[in-house]
Amino acid sequence: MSELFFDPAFLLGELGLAALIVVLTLADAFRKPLYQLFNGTTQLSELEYRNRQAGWLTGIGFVIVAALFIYTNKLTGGEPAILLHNSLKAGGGLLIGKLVILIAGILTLLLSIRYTSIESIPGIDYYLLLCFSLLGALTLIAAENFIMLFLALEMMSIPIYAMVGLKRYNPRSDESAIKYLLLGGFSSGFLLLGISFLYGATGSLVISDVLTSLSFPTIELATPQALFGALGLIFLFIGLAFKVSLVPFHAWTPDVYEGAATPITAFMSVAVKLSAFAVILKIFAGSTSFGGFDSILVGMLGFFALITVMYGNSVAIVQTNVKRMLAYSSIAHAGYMALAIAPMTHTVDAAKAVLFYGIGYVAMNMLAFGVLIYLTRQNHYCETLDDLKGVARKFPGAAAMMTIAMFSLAGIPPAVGFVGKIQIFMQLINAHMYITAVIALLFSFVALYFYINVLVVMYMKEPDTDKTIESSHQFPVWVAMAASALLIILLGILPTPLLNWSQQWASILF
Amino acid sequence: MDFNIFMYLTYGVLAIVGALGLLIAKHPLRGAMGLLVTMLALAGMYAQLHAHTIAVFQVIIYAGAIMVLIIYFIMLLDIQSQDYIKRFAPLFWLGAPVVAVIVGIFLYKLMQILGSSAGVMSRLSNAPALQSSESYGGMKAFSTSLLTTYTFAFEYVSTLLFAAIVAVIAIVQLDWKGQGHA
Repeated sequence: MSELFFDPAFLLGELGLAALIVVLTLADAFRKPLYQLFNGTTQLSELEYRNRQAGWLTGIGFVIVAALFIYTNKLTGGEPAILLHNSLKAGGGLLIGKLVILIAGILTLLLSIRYTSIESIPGIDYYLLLCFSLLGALTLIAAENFIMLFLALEMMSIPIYAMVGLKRYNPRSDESAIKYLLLGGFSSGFLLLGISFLYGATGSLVISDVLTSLSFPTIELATPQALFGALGLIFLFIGLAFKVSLVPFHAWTPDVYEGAATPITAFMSVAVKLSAFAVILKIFAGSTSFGGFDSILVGMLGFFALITVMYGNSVAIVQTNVKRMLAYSSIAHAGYMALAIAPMTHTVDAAKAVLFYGIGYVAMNMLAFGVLIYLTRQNHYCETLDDLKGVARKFPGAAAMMTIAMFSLAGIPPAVGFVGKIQIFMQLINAHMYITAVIALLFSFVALYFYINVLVVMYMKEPDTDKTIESSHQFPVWVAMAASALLIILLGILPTPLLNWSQQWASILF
Repeated sequence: MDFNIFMYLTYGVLAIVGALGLLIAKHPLRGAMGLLVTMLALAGMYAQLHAHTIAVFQVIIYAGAIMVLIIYFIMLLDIQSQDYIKRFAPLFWLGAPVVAVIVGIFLYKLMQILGSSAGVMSRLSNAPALQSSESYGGMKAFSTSLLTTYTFAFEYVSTLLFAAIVAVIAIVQLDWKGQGHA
């Protein structure tokens, strides 16, 4: 049960990322001589130089880490293993999840390179924190005991609290960082309370042991063990629901998404959400049935998920700020993902539907935020609908990208969002939750309004003022946008590979 | 009643009283003292549960270091300001009954399961954690499990602390070589 099995071959990717963190720190310590060495002729400011150096190093590092993950899979033969006294699971389908999170990190990096310069954000801190957060997300989806789960969740969140506040001269950024820090700390408290109740009820911290020894033969919860176990599960769910921003634990989302630097918003809305959902799936939708307590969970999850879909989609309609609108839309999407597991069928299919949706969501949200970053200029944020007026005239490419993203978010074929929504609704229909399915479907039509509204503003409104844009250094943003757009279309038309991948990832949770 | 159980229950009541004091006290320093009572009472509970190492840590780190930090902060605050004196926003009175009802249901359920107070006492006296055991919770047992079962978590925490340091440095440096917007 608790044996010390450790083969570094399983953790090459994570070790590589840790090495990258050390390299980045050291490179910044020696930046002065490097600056003089490489910057003899060009006239880069030191901040600019520092940002570029950090950006390049991180980019190369991420590619190496991705290669290490694939090499790990080769070395270990793709067989999953549990390492280090039930600390981490590695190998098998987890590779898919790790690669998806890493790709989200790479896209964030591509979107950040120019953004950090025009916002005067010190790049080295920014990229270091991004690496730490990625490391946290990568360990979070692999965590096998509750101690590691909590530590990885903190490792993922703490850098993001700081990254949200990196635009120090912007009061909105400060405000959102404080809000996120306080509410995040609060949610960690709930999570810990849940973990300690579960430990009290079962005497174990290993997730699989806890889940198997939690048995609720009836709804009655007639023993102290069952009562505290149920309470622990509920607190655990609340702690995780904060991270994925399900209503009523969503209050931080709009403010934080609006105040943070846009690439960070994009990273939060995809990587953090996806890995937190992977944990929810592992605990609540894994192979272990909770017996009688399942029927309570069906009601709880179904209720939370449905009001999340309703609230997110209705409030998004009245937003004039696109980042805020995307925040409410991301709340609604979390609701859709939670709907898929609401029937509590404990099948691979339900987990597969959520992961499929989550992976597709990485591409679409990255694209939507990528367009906003593309249109951001020095001393001018592109955030409100007014800023998007007539964008299609000046920047037809960016407008086309936004169209793809909005279609996918709204769930219009052939984008990947359509296939994802079908997967979700299939779960509800298979479980005979017809009314829930119909309500969720109706609110998808409501969502159509505000997604299409963005396109109407871009294509049919006259621009207010003459807008110019520096064309320099936009290449990385273009790469990120093109890659996400390609993924959305390709995976929308040919979803089979992605279905297989999410199946592989889902099966490791069981 | 066994002396162990009596002390355990006393510490439990003290912890609750301290927490209520923290919540209700108008003067921040009194709130801090309430917190101190809770922390010391918790240390006592750990000791009664034979987790001696954790009890020592609780006293040294929480009741010692962290309390000093909190009291320094209170010293730096302008405690005359209404923002610090005012307790309970209007929404509190909306939320409190809801929480009270939920906690009430839970306690009712718990009492239903446990039966009478005699049932509670018999459960307490049979609780394995309250029985004395030499090998449990001492420094040796603590260190052994920290460096065997939880090795990876232990190492991971060091990375987490590094992340926290980087996060603090990133937030604290206001502008970088005059590049910031101040």
